[in-house]
Amino acid sequence: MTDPAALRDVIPHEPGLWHQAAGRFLKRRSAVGSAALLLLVVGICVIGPLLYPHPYNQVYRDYILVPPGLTPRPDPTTIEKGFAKAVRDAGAKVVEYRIDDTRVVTAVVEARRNLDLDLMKKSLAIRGLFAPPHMTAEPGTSRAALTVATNTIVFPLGTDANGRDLLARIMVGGRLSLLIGLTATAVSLGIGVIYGAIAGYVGGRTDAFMMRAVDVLYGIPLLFFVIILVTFLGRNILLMFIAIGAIEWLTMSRIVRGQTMQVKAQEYILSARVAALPGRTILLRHVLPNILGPVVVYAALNLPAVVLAESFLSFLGLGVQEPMASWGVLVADGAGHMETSPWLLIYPGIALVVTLLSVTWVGEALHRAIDPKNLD
Amino acid sequence: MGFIYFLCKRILAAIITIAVTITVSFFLMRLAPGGPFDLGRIMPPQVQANLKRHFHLDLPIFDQYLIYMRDLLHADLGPSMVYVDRSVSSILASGLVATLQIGICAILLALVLGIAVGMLAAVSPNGLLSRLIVNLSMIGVLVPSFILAPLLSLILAFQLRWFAIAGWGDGSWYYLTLPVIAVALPQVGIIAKLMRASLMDVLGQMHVRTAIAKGLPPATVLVKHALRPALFPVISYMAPAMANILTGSVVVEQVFAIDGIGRYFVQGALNRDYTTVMGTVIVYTSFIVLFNMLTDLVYVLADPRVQVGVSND
Repeated sequence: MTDPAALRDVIPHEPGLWHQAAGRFLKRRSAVGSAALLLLVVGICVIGPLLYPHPYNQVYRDYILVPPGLTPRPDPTTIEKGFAKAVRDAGAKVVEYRIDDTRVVTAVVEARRNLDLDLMKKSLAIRGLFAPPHMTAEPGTSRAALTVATNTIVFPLGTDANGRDLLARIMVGGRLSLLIGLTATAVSLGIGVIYGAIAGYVGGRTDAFMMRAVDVLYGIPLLFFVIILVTFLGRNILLMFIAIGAIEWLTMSRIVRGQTMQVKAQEYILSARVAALPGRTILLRHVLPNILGPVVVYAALNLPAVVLAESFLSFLGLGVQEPMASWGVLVADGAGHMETSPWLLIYPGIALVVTLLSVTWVGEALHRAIDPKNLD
Repeated sequence: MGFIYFLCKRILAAIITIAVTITVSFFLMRLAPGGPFDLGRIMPPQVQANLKRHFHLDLPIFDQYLIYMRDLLHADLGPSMVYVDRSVSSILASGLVATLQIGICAILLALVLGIAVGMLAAVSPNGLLSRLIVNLSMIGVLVPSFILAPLLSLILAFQLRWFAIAGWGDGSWYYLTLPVIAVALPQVGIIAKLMRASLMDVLGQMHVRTAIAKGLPPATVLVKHALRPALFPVISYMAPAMANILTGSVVVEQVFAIDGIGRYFVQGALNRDYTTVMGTVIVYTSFIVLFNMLTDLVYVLADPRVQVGVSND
């Protein structure tokens, strides 16, 4: 008897299939680049809203359809007018007024009768324009010197027709679009793998019947069913996940069936059968792990189609509803205002296309890495 | 003999597909809560009951189904439940003009442009054009018609005023161009990519090399020897292409405010107009199934190697 430990040193160490695939993936600069881009997009959408000051559904009534840019708002004239109004409301008038580059207002105010500093503080706070002021009354007069910082807001990508910040909506919309994409892909993966594996493994008449059913379904415009389903059964986001997943499994089941039939013919499956393992065990333990590669690749390549299906529905007003945002909702909203505010169409569109492109690139890179022999 | 058998089999499969679609969408709609007369408008219970009786909505679902199928066999799609005094057939007839015109123009454009560009790319596989096509076709697939259509309309109609911003007008090219481009462009990319790959494959085959070796001019080799076999993948993509174009047309009709089938479908779904939605679904399905059959026929007729009546998987 040879010692197994000694054998291990003699036989050259081969890294596993997945290990090799990871190596191939990391070696290609384009693969790593697209994966980084995808991670960046996902990171911005997931973490961005936590760090960003504007909530996605906050309505700024004074800032409707603000064009994109980094100019802080409001502009100095608005600040001056707002300041004068606040001072007047507190029964005083502005004697001196100066605003510096950091938008800190230094002013001297004079009351008509008695200077009420508390009232002044409240009056300034009520407009939301100013931070709590620093005031010193000049003894013996009804004047006070006043230093106050302005609350400025920036809308990097502008605002929509309801005065909501576009960047916040794009990030939150991205979360939802990606979530729907992943969930629907998982649903389609589940149905497709189970269906295809059973058809391929059992074979014979069952297989013929199951695949004929897939052929029939292929001939039907299934997206119309999803529309019927979501409009008639109510706009439930969960329902939409499932409905989209339920129409995207057809190709997956064909791929899995083909792969299963290939694997089934191999000797190790034969020995598993000779060992009288139950069919379920063979399928789960020996067949499925060996067809995982193409399944992962196809799922990644199909993800854009799923995200597009969601956006398509939302664009038609049949999917995600306001005030929730998804990229489809934002594009539809942008299309409605494009003559006056093209940024509402362009930025969500860019977000959608860049994400789909990076997903596709990652999918193709995975294809090269995991399944190099099936490249066309 | 074999051919007729094949034809009958295909027709039977088509009928089954359409019947399954009708049945499934019928029950999907009726089983959902809320009908066309439960939305928004408040009406006296008696009126509501009368309306429901008029449209047979008071009967058990299965009886409704039988009545619908019986009428359908008499080519009667029933009255619209929302558009007063309009039959679904007349709605569909008015919508079909625009939708079919957009669909047919788009598929022709996609075919001609896609094949031409794909051929150009295949002739110089490593050239700039070739690489451009591979990348552009991917972008073409990923920029969906619901982004493309508003963008085109913004630039070409709103800024440059070359085309109509919305509407159908007299259906001339002034109204037709943008909708057609918006639905056709993604398909152009896909067809060009398919054509490039398959032509490159064919150009490496023996019979083409023989043709070149015996001194035929390259153009002759390309058109007479390589083109026909290279077209097969494109032919088998025709049916999915048509399905994609029809789906895209739903969006485009919405963007350009064109009263086509797609708009009636979306409006019908929103208003729970059972009969109109059924009618549009039937039209779409029949159209796609018919097109599927047609491409199969073309395939069989064009490629003598395809054995008729033998399933090809």
